[in-house]
Amino acid sequence: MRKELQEIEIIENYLMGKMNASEKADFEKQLETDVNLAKNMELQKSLMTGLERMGLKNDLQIAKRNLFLRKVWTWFGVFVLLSALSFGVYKSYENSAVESGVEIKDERLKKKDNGHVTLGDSRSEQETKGDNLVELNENPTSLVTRSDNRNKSETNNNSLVTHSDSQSGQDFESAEIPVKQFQTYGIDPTKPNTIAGAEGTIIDFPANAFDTKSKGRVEIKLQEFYKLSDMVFANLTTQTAGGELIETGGMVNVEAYQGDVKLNLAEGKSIDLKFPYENKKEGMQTFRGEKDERGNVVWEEQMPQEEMTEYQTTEQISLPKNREADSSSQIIMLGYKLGEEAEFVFLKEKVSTYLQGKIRYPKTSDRLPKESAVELSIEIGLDGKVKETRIVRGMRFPPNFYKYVQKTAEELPPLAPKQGRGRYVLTTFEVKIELDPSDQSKFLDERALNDYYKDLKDKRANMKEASLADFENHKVEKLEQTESNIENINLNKSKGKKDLEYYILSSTSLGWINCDLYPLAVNGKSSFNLIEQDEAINCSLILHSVRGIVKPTYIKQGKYIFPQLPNEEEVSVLALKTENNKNYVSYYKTVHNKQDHRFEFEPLTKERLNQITAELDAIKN
Amino acid sequence: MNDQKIIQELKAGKRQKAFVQLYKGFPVVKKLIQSKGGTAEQAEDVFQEALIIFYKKASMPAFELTPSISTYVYSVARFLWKDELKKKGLKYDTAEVENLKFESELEEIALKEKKFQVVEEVLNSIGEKCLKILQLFYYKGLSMKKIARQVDLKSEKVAKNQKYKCLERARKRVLEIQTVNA
Repeated sequence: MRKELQEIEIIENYLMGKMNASEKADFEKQLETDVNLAKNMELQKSLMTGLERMGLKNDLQIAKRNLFLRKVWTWFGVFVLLSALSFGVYKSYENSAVESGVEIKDERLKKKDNGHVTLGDSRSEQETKGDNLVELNENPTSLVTRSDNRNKSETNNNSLVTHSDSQSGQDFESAEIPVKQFQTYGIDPTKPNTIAGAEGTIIDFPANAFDTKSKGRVEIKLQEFYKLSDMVFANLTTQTAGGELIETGGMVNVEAYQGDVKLNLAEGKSIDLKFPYENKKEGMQTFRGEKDERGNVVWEEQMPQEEMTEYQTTEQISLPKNREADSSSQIIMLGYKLGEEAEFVFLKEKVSTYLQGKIRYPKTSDRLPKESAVELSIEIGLDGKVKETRIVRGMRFPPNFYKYVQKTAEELPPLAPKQGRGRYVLTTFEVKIELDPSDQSKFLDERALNDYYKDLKDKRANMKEASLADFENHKVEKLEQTESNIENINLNKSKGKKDLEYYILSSTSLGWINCDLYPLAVNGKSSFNLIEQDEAINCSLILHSVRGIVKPTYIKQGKYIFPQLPNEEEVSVLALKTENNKNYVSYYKTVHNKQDHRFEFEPLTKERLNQITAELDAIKN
Repeated sequence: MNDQKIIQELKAGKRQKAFVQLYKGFPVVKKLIQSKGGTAEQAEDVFQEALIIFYKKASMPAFELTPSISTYVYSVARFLWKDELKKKGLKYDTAEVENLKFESELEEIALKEKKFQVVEEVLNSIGEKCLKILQLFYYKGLSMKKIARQVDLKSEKVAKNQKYKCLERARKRVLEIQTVNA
């Protein structure tokens, strides 16, 4: 277990009184001297108390409900008693009441049998629906359908909406709601592949990633959602299946096909996804999406399933061929003895410390900021050897320096790969190497640098330059390439030369994948309500302080209810409806001040659509 | 039900039963808060807070009931509301300034409890599964084996590890907020 987690366990044992007397004494002694430990202990204590408080509050809510129900039952009991008492009094009326009840029933049956004939009869029933009556008479066919389907209120409502609104329907050219296109890539499934989406997503597929035995071409289909407008028009939300708000760093839909067969990932395989970002937010993790009963995509956090204690080196640790002598302690740090507990994050730290100690800088780098860093993504093969390295992020060092960093990382001693479902899996992880370019003792001497470059050149000489920056080992072939694709790839390529910044996540399945975090709501949460009798409206709220979109969790009594919306949040309301094949939109900005809001529909013209799209995409968060 | 019985039930771990009884005290507190400018919603928050304070006091080993439960809860609620108004720079219109002997003790408790608003917000933000694991363990006192089954994790070991990770996540977030506020 990682040392931070071990500390948490020890603190927990202390707080829950699971320590024996001597352990307790030792721990308390430590508390006195270790300020950090004492601070962490306090934190953990308050979290435990917080959990207790939340549990109690929850139980109190249940108690409140039970008490209420008990009251209801009591009143119900009183009611039953009164009814029973009055039964005798009203007994004389009973017979006539039953008779009239039967009569009514009969009449209904009659109407059902010949709905198209009894036009006049059914009118009396429909009088309550006032407005609609006019349209119904204008259109006798719909009347027949209506009375035949009296019980299917849903279909009924739809046809009624269309009719009643035909009056208000204005003559305008309605804009189509944009649909996100799939990008298609053809790959050889027996080899590792990297695909780069038009909007910057990079997905790494390991060799034999799919659950297919055939070696035939695999077609990858990809949809990317980074713009709020793209998300909202595709009915995407940033809500978990439990209705909790999450904040997105980008969503993709990845599908794989071999001929007509839809594929998923093979057992034990995972893909790595890189979501580009402008402003980094901490805590991004993988969420898997599913369509709910209303066709909205909702998300669930992907929990790591691996057993942390099973990491072992697969090979004996050998000394890397180093130009400088390594102290033996460094090597022991990197490797793990068989059977020893080690966790992946722990290993990451070690790798970064190791590289930090090993890397030298070119002399010119003294102009760089004092705290420079290179972020490197390292892939470990099943044999524990470094398979591939990639620069994820870095400062303006000369390009060769990066190659040197990569090379150094490629010479790492064998590392234990991660395990998935009891087997080793290809493991990619990101390490941050902090550099101090002002430290003259770490300057690289010219000869060593040249040696590296030469070595590097030889190694890479017979490799073809790929079309995408730095993905020499992967063959990328695009079947379809729209104009915007080409534009964006060029953009990425040029971006790659400077700062390329990604969230790197992995996923053990294909489909809807979301890069998210749970945001904090500092001002508390409450429900946001939109009032409208019409229940056929597709509406969303776009949040401004966090990158998120929510849909109403339920619609009742003419209210579209979005529970648990952060208070004082600035939101954009976007609602769409279709009438007579024309689209209408309600779009405005407001603040969640616990008051009810309404829709304000207007024709969705092309200009209006462009305007809304531009406004949505200008939201910075 | 009399006070002794409620306390017995609490001690016997029959929280639900005791809570239903305690909740009967709400209308009185609601009336008080509403007469002092609060809403029904605020009254409920204050009342629940007062019940939690009572619950904690009652679960202490050296607990002794001096006034009746209803008096105690009512006084705590009144104190909390007074404090709430003070925080907003408003004055509590006090015709009945009776200084209860446990008022000083309350002040300390109320201060402590406020701290937990941040903690609760953080716990609400660490993810449903995480919160569930933590609640099942620390509040419901379930074994890790049972928890693993409930939240659909492969083994007790995985669940245990996940539990620590969740705590770590929460810890980091509290620190995050503390630095923001500092």
